[in-house]
Amino acid sequence: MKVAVSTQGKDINSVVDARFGRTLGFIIFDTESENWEFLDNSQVLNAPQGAGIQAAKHVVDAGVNVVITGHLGPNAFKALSAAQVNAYTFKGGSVKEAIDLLKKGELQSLTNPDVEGHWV
Amino acid sequence: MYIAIASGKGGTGKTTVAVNLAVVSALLNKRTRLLDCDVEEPDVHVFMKPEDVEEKAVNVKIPVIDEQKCTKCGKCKDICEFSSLVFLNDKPVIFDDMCHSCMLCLRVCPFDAITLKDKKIGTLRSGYGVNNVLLDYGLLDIGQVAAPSIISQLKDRLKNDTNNNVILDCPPGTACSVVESVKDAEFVVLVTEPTRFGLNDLKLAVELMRSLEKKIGVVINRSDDNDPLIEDYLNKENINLLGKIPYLKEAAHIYSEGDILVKKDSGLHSRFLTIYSKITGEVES
Repeated sequence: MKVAVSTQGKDINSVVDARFGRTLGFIIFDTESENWEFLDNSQVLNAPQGAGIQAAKHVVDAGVNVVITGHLGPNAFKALSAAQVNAYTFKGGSVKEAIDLLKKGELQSLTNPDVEGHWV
Repeated sequence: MYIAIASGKGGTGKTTVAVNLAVVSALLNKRTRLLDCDVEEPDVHVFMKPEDVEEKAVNVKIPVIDEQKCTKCGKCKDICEFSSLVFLNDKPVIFDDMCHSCMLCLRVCPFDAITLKDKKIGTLRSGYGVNNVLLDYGLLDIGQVAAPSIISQLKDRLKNDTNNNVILDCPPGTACSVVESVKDAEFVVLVTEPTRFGLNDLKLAVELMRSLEKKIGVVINRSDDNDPLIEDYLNKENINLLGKIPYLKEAAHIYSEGDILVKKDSGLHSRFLTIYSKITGEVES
């Protein structure tokens, strides 16, 4: 299973970014191999509009099955749902902590968009 | 005469100027039409009080993909400028709210897999108000974002228009909806106020109008009579000052009652007459 976690830094100990579309990037974590890599989102971060959709496209293209982020707006949620990617919410800790909680089944899933678009 | 009233900064008095110029024009026996293009927050009708208002829905065209015909070639997503059509796991997904109805996707599809559906985004209203001025105004539905589409359909009503004078009240700012509003106007009146915010946003509006090659003039609202902050800038840039509306408690009072300045105060009437004749002079020059 491949997991994308929105992040404010470039490694696994970075803080999870509550924003999805306008996050700095994603840590793409493979739960089988335990390997991870950083997926840059800076181009989307500065896009005038459609950041949620483009960020979703990036992680879907990276072959991700699960997303961990703070919040999802309606467009990002629709895009991830269309690609059958499950989303979970996590705030205030590191990427590593988020993944550990996901493995233990302790993360809350997002079954609806929980914010309006452009919420920050 | 076809003029637009714009500002840059919000709250400078665009509507006040538009409404009062329209009534001045009507009082001169010109058949006058007023368009409120601030479709996110129209308020001209509060002053013009149109009667027997006719209402019509505004629709835009949104693409629909026939998945039987679609070969997933991706030409539609490649041409979309607005991320409104993306492929996710090799499947096209359309985001209606992002679509600008440019219809390029429809044109590039080699397999005729794309058709169009109507999406309602707002309404157009129309009726005769104070002094028989014809008012047209648009209203964007809550949650919709495509203001320029409504403005464009509002302006379509001007085709074959036989009124002597058309006055268009723009939305604030310098974004797409203002560009769409002023596009066909012969002359643009920029309304400002003698504050640093007013000056800053006036400069942005002047820059926009110059890039659109519009003839412009400026009205200073809430004037202290002597407004060096704005006037020095206008002199330096060689921009015509059309007139000033004084900062008066009485003017604020008339406005707060939803009344029209030129009908309640003869001093203000003569101020607006001067502004009106300067504009006609500029348009004819």
